[in-house]
Amino acid sequence: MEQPVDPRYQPIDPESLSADGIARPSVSYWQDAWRRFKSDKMAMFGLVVIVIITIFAIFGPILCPYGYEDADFFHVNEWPSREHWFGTDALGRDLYVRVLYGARISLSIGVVAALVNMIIGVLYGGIAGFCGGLVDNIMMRIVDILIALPSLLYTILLMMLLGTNIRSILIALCLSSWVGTARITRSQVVTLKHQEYALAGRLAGASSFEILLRHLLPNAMGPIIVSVMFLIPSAIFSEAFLSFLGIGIQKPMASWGSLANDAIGTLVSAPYQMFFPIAAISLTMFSLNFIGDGLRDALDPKLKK
Amino acid sequence: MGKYIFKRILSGFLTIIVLITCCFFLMHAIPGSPFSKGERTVPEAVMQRLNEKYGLDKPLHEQYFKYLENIAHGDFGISYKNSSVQVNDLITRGFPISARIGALAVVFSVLVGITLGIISAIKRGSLFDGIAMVIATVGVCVPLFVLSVLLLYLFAGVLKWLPTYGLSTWKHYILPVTCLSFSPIAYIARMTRSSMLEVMQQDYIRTARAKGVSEFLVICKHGLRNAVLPVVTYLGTLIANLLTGSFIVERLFAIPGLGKYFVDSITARDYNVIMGVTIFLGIFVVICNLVVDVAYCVIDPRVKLDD
Repeated sequence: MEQPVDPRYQPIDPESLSADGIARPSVSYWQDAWRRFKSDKMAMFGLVVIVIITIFAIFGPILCPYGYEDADFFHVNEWPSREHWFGTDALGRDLYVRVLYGARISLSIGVVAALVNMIIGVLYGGIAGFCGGLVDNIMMRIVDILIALPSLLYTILLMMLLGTNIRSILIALCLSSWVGTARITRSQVVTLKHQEYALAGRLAGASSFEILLRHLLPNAMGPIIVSVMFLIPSAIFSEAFLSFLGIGIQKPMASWGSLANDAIGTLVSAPYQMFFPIAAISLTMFSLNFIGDGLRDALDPKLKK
Repeated sequence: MGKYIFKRILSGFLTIIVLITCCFFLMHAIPGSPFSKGERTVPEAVMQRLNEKYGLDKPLHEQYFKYLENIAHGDFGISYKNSSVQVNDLITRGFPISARIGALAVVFSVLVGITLGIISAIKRGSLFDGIAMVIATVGVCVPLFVLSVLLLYLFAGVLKWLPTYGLSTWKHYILPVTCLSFSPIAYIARMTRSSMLEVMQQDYIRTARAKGVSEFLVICKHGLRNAVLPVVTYLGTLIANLLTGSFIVERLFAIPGLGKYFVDSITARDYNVIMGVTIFLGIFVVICNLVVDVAYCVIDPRVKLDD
């Protein structure tokens, strides 16, 4: 006997279905991360500030009529005015241009040191994690030993050997703070290397090095980028620290740390000489830290608290 | 437990050996003898005598083992720039002062940091929480020297409430200790806040409340004891940070501590002093880390000892 068919329960014509079709464009990991990052107001604010500072650092000195070492003995220790936006220092040098040159040095040191540290740390940690066993054990014991001491001590020791100039600061910073990245990369690679796609790669005949570079490291990239992002402010901080102690950038070059160091003597009579460099460095540190926090939440949502 | 401590002592020992070796060979890789630096030219014969006196004419490996032996006896050598000054003297003179400021900073930052963290965790979302977290962000982002300069300018320069340099009365301690503690307070407050938020959602907190324990006791006895555990792990890093921070603070406030001697010797390129002080600081940090790690295992039995 035929059941009366409820019109609500009509069988669907299978032709009209496209169950396999994808309704929306697929979102990749990086697009998803960028979407999360964009919604983080503090991080976007930081990004905008850093972009502005970078633009000023690149083009500012070109548009400014003064050079960073042009002394003008008739306009010494002048307060900020229309001619000298940030005032002048004890030798009559324009502080605006010096702060911009400081931005060039600080930002480029931060970026280059972070990148070099990333390369060293990623390769070191990647190899240790991928090889495992004795190699891993030895490599990680070395890291344990290095990490036990503040990296600024190594930096200072290297600076003693290399002399005090911008190149040696860069080398010293590049060689002294990769251990954190190495640890993170290693732990990522150790968890990833037993995944099926690594095995599939091996079955397809890829060499170990290829698997490490092509399959494991790209998948471990999120946490690594986050750690590198925090290396930039810490490198800028280290440079400023050393220059502030008088063992970093040498005269007549200027970095934010050395400008602040120069201004200690005139702190009471000309506080603006201190204000602009430390405002610049604080603003940069805030922005970079906000970007780092935003990236961490965007790339590694598990870590979000 | 015993095995873990043994392992830690071994790795600490290795760290120190590596540090001494790095220091020694780096300092000896610097071109020129310690006496040929600067504008003064030393006659050849005098130079030879000096080299003989300090054993610099011997092969490098002999010098290295001699140096190791001296350090094992607690002798860090003498300053090449001023041969009446021994590195040991600098350390015995400067370290107690640095240690006093450092210890005050540790106590201050732990107390204030934990208090801030707990109150802002309990009153989550309140105005206090907001202010405390702004302070924490400032403390994490603003470099120590910027903060020191600002505080120095405000309290010693403009308001003239506190002395600017020296270390004779209790008032002299306020600014250096505050500067040194600021960023540790920020870290500890953040850490305590997040771990307190986590702990307060545990079942044993609900049990305690259900038993009718007062809210104060729940927070202090059940919450706090578990929430401060991560802070203990941070203490090792804190000591290392205070150490590098002391370079800045002691220089800025003209405090005759070890940090100031260290920076002075760097500027004067007095390699033996740099080497001696670096090694001393390294040994100090390694011992502090060891104590912190062992203490953590004793305090928190849940920690796995095998790694």
